[in-house]
Amino acid sequence: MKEPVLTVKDLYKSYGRVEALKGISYSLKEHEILAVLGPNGAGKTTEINCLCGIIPFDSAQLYYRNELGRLPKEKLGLCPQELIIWKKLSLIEQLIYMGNLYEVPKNISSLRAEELLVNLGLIDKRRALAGSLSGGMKRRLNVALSLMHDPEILILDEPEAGLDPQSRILLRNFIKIQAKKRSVILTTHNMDEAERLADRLILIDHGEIIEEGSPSYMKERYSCSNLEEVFIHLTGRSLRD
Amino acid sequence: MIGKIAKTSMKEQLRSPVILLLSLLTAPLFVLIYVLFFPSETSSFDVAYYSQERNQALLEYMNNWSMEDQTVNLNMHWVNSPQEGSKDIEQGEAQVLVIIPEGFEDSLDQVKSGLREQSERVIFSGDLSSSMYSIAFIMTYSSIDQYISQRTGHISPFAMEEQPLGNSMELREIDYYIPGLMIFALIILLFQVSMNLSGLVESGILKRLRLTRATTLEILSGYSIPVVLIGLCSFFLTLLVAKLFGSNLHGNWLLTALVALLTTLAITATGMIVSAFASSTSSAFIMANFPLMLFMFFSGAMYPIKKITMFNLGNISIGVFDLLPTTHGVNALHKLLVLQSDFSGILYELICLTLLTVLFLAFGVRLYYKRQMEIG
Ligand SMILES: Nc1ncnc2c1ncn2[C@@H]1O[C@H](COP(=O)(O)OP(=O)(O)OP(=O)(O)O)[C@@H](O)[C@H]1O
Ligand SMILES: [Mg+2]
Repeated sequence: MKEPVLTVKDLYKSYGRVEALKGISYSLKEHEILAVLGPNGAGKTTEINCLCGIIPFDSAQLYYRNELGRLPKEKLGLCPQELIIWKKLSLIEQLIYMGNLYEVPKNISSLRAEELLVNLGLIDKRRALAGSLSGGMKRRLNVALSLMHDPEILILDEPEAGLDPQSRILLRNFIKIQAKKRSVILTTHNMDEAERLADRLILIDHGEIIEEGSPSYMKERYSCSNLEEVFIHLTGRSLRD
Repeated sequence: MIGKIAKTSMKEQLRSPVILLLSLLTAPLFVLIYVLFFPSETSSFDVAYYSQERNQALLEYMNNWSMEDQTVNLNMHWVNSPQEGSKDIEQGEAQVLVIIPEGFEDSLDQVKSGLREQSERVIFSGDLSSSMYSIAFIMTYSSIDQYISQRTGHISPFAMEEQPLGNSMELREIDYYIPGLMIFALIILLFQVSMNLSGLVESGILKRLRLTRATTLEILSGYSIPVVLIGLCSFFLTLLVAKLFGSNLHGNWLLTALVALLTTLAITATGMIVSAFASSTSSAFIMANFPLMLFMFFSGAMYPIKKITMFNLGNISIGVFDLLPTTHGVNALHKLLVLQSDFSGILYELICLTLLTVLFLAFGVRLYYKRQMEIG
């Protein structure tokens, strides 16, 4: 079996007295789509931000392939949970700019930007300022920005939030195609989406992994007809922060 | 309804205590700074005194002289040549230079015995564009006038001549405030820099930038360069408009540009320091007012400010406000454009400005990195 692209071991992180992550361990295989599920406040975003080096963690061992240490920046492509776009730049301008920031050669950069705009259904707006896009388009741009440097690992934090069914289908197919070129980590609250997309699921609650496996394994194991039932079965019905 | 909205708004403000305190306390704090640094009721003027005959009597008289209501007195010091006196004025160590001519005391004896009408001519020199000079001149004049009438028993105007330093004579009224306004054009960049950089935090863009290969230094330089260019344009535009309306300011433009550049960099660095503490544009705006006021009111940009010596380095006295880069910007600009100084004339300012700029930049970059960019 091939070595995993990414391995996380014993990731701990607390914000003051709030223990957001209490020892998360998992690995990500090549071309795998891994969905990280969990109720609000489970620690999904925190986990991703720690991986990407946006926030410091308390302790962990992170491996890129078999190398221990901080994960190399250019191997990761993060689409953050919040919208982070340049409102006063056109779509093409900001994609090229993103390429520049990763020192992507100019010719590759413009080809890649056009391709991303086409594949994410944004090509008609290539010269429009991002501030003028609709909410759903902004979210798709948010995804495009994370791919300009052709990362080996794509990390999407709730990419489909606020998308209509058409865009959701487009994005789902887009992610599937991405998995041909790279590994994907994805967080979502949409169980249907997770079931259709993911090769494997990790269920996090209160900063710990409580279950892990393929969608079919999970359904079988808990004798549920869909993932939502598994989710409720494992995390209960009470509301989270 | 209004009451409810106001109450809620007040509640929100109370939850940003730093901002609230700054809005409340900035102006009162400046009053405090003023009284701390300029405590005395009396104001004293520094007078450089040159007398080839070393006229001790007049010097002592002037030193002990004060206005009738005791509110003003003179602080005399000897200089060994008129040039040394001019230097003192340039360095802010004197506001006026008096040159007592040879045979001055003899001429007073002759006036006393009726052999001549007027004494030998006393020369006053100073920067005619400075309001400090005007007052210091009047006080120095009165003291000599009183000395003469006491000494001769005659009340008569004494002979004197005024020698302007540099081109301070040719200047028009407009020229008096143009150098200050030019520095002001740079000082307001504080807002732009700090709001831009804090805006990066607020919009999340900084997060995206941090994911890329860009380093802190690259990010901060990248955001600073346009601001520096805007500042320089605004600086020379101010001058251009003044020129169009008849300003007579002139001087070494290359050195002027250098001073402007260094000052802009120091102000940019101050903006970085502000944005290290502010994570939204609105709080950066409020916070930037504090250094802005310091720069405006304590560096001589708005009105001349007297030097308060902190310590002496050799024969150079270092003032409290010499810690502000803008102080040297203002002084250098004044020397270049009003007193017609050359490179050697502003060497001290250039050295201080360079040192402070480097220091501020190093501190600003480090602080912004520590507070807004560092990860574990
Ligand atoms: N900056 C912060 N300061 C303090 N606590 C925080 C901070 N960010 C997150 N937390 C806490 O850490 C925990 C995990 O939050 P996180 O955002 O990782 O959850 P999440 O799984 O991404 O939730 P969601 O599905 O709502 O996005 C929560 O209890 C949250 O309140
Ligand atoms: Mg989240």
